[in-house]
Order: sequence, then C-alpha cells, then structure tokens
Amino acid sequence: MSISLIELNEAGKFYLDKRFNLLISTGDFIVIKGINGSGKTTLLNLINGFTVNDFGQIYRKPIRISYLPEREVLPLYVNTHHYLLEVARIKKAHLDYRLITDFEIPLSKSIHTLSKGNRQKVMLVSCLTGYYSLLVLDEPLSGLDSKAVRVLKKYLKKLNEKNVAIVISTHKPERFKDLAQKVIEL
Amino acid sequence: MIKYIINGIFTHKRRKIVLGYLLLFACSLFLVLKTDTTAMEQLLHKEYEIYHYNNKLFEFLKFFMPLSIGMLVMEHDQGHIKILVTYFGRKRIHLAKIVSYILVVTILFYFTYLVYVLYAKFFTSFYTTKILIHDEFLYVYLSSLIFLLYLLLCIREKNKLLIFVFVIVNILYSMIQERIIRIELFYLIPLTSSLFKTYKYTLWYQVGYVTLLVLINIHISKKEHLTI
Repeated sequence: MSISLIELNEAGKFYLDKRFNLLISTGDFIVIKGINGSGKTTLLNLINGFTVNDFGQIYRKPIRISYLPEREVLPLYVNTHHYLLEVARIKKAHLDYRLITDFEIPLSKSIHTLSKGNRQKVMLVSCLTGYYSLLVLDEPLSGLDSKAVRVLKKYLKKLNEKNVAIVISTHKPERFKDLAQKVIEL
Repeated sequence: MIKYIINGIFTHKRRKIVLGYLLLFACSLFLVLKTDTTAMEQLLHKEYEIYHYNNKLFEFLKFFMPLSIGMLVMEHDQGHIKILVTYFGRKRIHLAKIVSYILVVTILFYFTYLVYVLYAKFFTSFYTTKILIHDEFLYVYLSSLIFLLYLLLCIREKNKLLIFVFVIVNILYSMIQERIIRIELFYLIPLTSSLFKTYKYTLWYQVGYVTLLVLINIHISKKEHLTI
C-alpha cells in the first residue's frame, strides 16, 4: 500500500506563470522534464521545502528527503574517502562500498583533483547514503559515462523496490523510461 | 553535525592558511605588546606598564577580531551543508552551524588569551596573575559573538564579499563609539567601548543581545528561501 508523502495542490510562485499539482507517494518513480525556464527547479525547490509557495497548498509528511542538486556542492581540498565517511557518519548510515567500487571512484584522491564525472559520482554516493523516504535528483546523469549510468539505474531500481519514492528532473527522460511510472512535462 | 561543519571550515588547505594566520597574529601581537623599557623601569612604573600592556592588547583586538571572524565566516553558506537541510531539517542544521562558529570563535579567543598571558609571563617583569583582565576579555568576546551572529544573519554565498564592508563598518563603529559617547548607539549594537564596559548591566545586555540574535537567526532560517 502506498502512502502519500507530499502533495502539491495548485502550488506556485509569484514569478512563475504556472501552478503545480503533484502527489508523491511511497514507491513512486517520477521523471520531470521540460525546457529551460519551465519551472523544474522551482518545482524541486517546493518539494524540498527550499522555498515557500506563494499560491496553493503543499501538504507534506515529516519525512527525510535526500537531494542531489544540479550544481556541484562538494567541499574542495578534502579527501574523497574522508568526506564520504563523514557524510555516512552524520547520517548514521554505512557507506555502500559496492556502489563506490561499481562507480570506480578514486577514494584516496582529494575532491578538487577529481574529474567532473567523478565529482558527480561522489555527490551521488553522498546523496544515496542514508535512510530516507524520498530521493530528489536534479540532472543526475550530468557528466556520467554509460557504465555509471547503468550502475545508477540499477541502484535506483533497487531503492524503488524498497518503497523509496524517487523524483528525477532531467533533460534526458528517455534514459529512465524503463523505470519511470510517471513522466511530467512542464 | 558540529564536527562535520567544523571540518568544512577547516579543510586541509584552509587549515594551513589558518595556522599561518594564527602565527602571523601571534607575531603581530608580540610586536604590539613589545616594550623597550628595561626590567627595572617596568618594575618602577608597574601600574603604567600594566595599563599600557592591557590597553595595547584590546586596541589590537578591536581590529584583529572582526577581520578574523570575517575570514572564518566567509564560507559559511556552503552548498554541501545546505543540501542537508532536506535530510535533517532547517532548525538542526542552522543551530549546528551557529554552535560550530561560536566554538571556533571561542577557540580563537582562547588562543589570544594564551598569547596575552604567556607574553606577560615570559617577556615582562611586571607579570602577576593580578594584571590579567578577565571581564574585559568577556566583553570583547561577547562583542565578537554579536558580530559573528550579524554575519551569519546577513552574509550569503552570493554576497559574501560584503563581509569586508561589515568588517570595516565594525572597526569604524568601534572608533566612533569611543568618540561619540551616545548610549543609543550602544543599545542599538552593544559592541564594547571603554565607556560602556564600566556600566553595571553591560555584560547582561550583551548576553541578552547574543541570545536574541541566535533566536532571530533560527527564526529567519525557517522561512528563508534557499538557493543552491
């Protein structure tokens, strides 16, 4: 049985000529697509609670959300392994070394020396670590090679089977067509 | 969470910068406190030497503390901390951030106090435990916390260079307070000045002000629009 986690009812912001209606329940896999400026980031901000809606209502259960932003937000000049261990420690979770191995992340290197793709993988691992009911990913495929995309999709499928709701905003919705239950075009 | 934030402040590279900065601070403080008078003269004019020793230190701190706090707080609005808001909640993250920065400022003060005591003990002839002024340190410490909390309230990633304006305003404000003695100024922003520290309730007013700023910080963080 699915439980509704977040419901947006005609929710919107004053600067956007658009209202959002969306119900996110446990086990959902939702893909959001749209052209630039269509309101994808605003919708994710409303889901994450980063911004308050000016119109409509948002009902949310007090749940843990894990969020991967589009922009790179890693602390530089920190050892990759130390950073991931710290994230796991504060989230009181264990690092998934299998995922790290599959992603081929060079753990011994400092974050600032990593390539864009590897930094994205580090961000993904830090986001996927923990215990959460909803996973929000903004352009998760940015900079990933095809092997990493396969690994990520496999991991997301497993998470989704464990009833974790997943919301993905992407310009490449076709990459998730085998997993998505709902595709929202803005 | 506090450990995570402090590690974020003092990354491997920044740790070296901070260490270098502390060494520079210690050297500057040594130069400021340095006196050319002989040991005999120091003993002869003990009161005068003690007065000047303490005065020089607190004048130095008036410039050094806002600058140091400004440098520490510059990177407080980091994205990797902000994204944790969805996982832990705004209140917990913001409270942890405030506590972390207060801890860092406290450690900075402890270091300053150490230099102040050790210099007097090993390089002057007038040192006795009686020369140490603890209450004045407390006033400067609380003033620094007020400045820190204003920075946490106003400075964000997109406007972080504004921090230098705050530092300059803080230094100018301290200088103005020494010349234009107006109690309204002190009520508005109770940074320590030589007059107001003699008032009976200055300390409690500053403690209350710090508490209020913490509460305002938490309240504003609840509704703040977060951008990553």
